[in-house]
Amino acid sequence: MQRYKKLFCLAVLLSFTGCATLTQSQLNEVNAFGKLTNSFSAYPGTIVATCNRIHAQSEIYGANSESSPDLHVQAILQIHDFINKTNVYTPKIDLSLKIINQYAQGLVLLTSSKHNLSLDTAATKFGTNLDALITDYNKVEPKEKLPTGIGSAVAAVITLGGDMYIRRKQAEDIKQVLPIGDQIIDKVTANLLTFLGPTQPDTINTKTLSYLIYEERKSIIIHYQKYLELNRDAISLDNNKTKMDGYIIHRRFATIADDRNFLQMLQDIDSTEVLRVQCIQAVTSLRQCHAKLLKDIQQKITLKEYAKELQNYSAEVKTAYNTIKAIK
Amino acid sequence: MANTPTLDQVHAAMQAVNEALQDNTISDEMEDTLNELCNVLQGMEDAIIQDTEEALVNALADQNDQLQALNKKINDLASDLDVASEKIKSVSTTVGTIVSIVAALI
Repeated sequence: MQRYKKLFCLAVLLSFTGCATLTQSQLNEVNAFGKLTNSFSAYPGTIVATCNRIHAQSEIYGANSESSPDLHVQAILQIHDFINKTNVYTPKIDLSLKIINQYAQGLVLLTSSKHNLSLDTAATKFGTNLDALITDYNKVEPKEKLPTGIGSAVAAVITLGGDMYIRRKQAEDIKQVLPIGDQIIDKVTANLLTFLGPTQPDTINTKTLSYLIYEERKSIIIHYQKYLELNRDAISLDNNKTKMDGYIIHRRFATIADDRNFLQMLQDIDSTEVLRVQCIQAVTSLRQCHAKLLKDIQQKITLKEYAKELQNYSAEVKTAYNTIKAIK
Repeated sequence: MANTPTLDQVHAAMQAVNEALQDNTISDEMEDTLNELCNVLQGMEDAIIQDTEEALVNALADQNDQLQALNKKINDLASDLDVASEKIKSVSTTVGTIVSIVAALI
């Protein structure tokens, strides 16, 4: 019996020798890349969304200082129009990273251990059932006892064979998908980097995100200044035949709450610039990380630990997350 | 397009209007005119921001279709893996039955 077990095991093992599978650490690396990309997909859109929110907020201060009701309403209507027109941009910006995220989640799905785990479950169940059957048989025929434990042995072989087949299929799929994905990620991340602009603040090129943020800071100050200038009321004194027109000047006009709002807008626009730079670093890391992933998979090496690129990418995403949390 | 002002120019104009509004001796008519000008400048500012953002966003969408197609392919491959996993499970059950019968016959 022992001999048959060994022969069966050997036959199954031989049938799978030479299969090109990925090491567990390589699968883990693909998996980690996917999970990390999932948390990053909404960050670049937040830059534009925050900028536009601050812009509308600062314009309310400007509108509030208009001298006539008509102009006041007109200014508010313009803000409303601005919000409606720019609201569509954030989902469009996020789309690129969401597609990269879908791709990364597809990689997670391809490298998932769920296929292997389901085989484990099936084989374990089968092994237990068979051993129980043999135990029952031995009770009925106590003179010719069958060896128990054969069920577990056969189950182990089936699991091993199935597991190796699935892993070989996973390796084939990943090797087929990653090079194409790498070319596309190269272009998409290049587009994202163009969108995010240079690392250093750009106050010259008027078509960059950096320039918009830089000018938005000025805009906040201008609108708040205009609000502060609403510090006079017209007055007319009529005493019999003498009529005197004049103004009452308010020395202390803005409230503490106004000043706090103004301060918060300045802090948020500063954080937006910080987030922009962090997103550049994260997108650069994403690009390097995927390139390294492809290289690791193609070289068929056993990774002792996650690649440095993956760790960098993780650190950049976490830093950007902290900045987003700080923006009100 | 060459005559489109930059945000910097619009902000400089807004700043100049603000300074003019600081003069407490200006007439109500002048104040209204300056405020009207403010609204015009605000509209220009909004339009420039919209145009710049739109151009940036449109340039982003360049490769999205290609990546979407790849995503579909990956999902198909993952479905194939599910099918393979199910087939192996069914083989496991069949072999199990055969081994049970053989074991019972020994």
